[in-house]
Amino acid sequence: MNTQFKKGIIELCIMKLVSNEDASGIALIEELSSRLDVSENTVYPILRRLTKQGYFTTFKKNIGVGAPRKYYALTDDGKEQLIIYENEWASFLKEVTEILGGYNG
Amino acid sequence: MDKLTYLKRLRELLEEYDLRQSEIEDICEDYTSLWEEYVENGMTELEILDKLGNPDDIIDGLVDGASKLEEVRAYNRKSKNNKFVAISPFIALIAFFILGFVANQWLYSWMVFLLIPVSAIVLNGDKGKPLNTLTALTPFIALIIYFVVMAPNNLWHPGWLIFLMIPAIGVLTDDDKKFVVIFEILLLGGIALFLYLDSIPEYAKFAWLAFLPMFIAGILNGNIIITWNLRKDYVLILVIAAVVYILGSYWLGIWGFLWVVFLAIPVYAIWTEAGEKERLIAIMPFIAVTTFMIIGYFFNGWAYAWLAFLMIPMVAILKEG
Repeated sequence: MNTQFKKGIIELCIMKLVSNEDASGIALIEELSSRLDVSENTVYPILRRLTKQGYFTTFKKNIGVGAPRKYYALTDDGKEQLIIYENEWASFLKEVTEILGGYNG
Repeated sequence: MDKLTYLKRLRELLEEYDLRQSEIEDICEDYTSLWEEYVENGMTELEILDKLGNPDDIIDGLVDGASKLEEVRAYNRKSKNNKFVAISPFIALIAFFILGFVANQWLYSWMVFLLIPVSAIVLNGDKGKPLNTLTALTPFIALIIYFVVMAPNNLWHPGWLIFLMIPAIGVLTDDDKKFVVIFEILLLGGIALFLYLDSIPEYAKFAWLAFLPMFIAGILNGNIIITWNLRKDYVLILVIAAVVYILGSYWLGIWGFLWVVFLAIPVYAIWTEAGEKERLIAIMPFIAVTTFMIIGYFFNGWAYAWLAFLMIPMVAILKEG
């Protein structure tokens, strides 16, 4: 699969996961790499970019032992952008499914 | 690779890029936390390295398109240099008039126009190869020495021998060091023999034969055209200008005007290097100087000749408009 295309899908998935629940970097990395064919080290740069773009905000949270961990939460801008991405994805998927269905038929 | 080595390498790589210090600190802090979290989860160094990726492999993703500091510095330097080269015709023009009107050095003031190609060579030359830059500069150095030192002391001949510094320095860039030594010996020997033969009236007309061994060595080495940084067409223009100047001055006696032929060098450089739009604007100072000299020198119209310089802003406005 085209790398840029794949990165776009991963970006959408990360935003969706964070919209469901604030998450630490490792939790997101583990979740994605266990469910999709994603290399762990591609997730962190996406987290940074989304934070830089203002779609994520970060905060520290104490989790029992060890140093406080960095958590990612979706901002209002992030929420709006996620809706746009989801709509684009749904429309894209619909067209692709139609085309593939057409080919099969 | 342990945690400290990993983070040290990561920081080293990040510092090579045009990133804010706070960004670098942030990324390093994040990777420290990620590493520690994986340790808490019971992973070995090897497993963590596999998860996080080698710093050298992940750096492109982390810098997110930021340029390398080295590239940013080189770009800034180049753009500063290009600005200077672009305004050098105007600096030369101002210097030309100051030297002429204030110091009454019309005979030499035209040489300030050599500042244009010289500044381009010095500022845009390969910093790692100073010998190439020097080689490219030698035609101009020779020209300046000839007109400033030789000509006023009535050393036109054999003062022109100074131009032999062009192949003498140019050959130094040749990789074949044995050939370089042979060529330099033949050149210096040729000069000595030339001066000796030239001083004896009955042999003077054969004096040029003294340089024959040098040319033969060049041909045998398959390197008669000494490789230098300067393009051959530039050298050709320089030679044509010098021949026109020397012959025109000798036969017509108009040396006070004919120096303008040397303006052909920067004009040719601009014509071949500049874009179509900038070309005419860039050469206008030279056209203006030539027009100024024609009106002044041949028609004694110095009082009105300066009007030629109005062409510069007029053309710029028309072309830009």
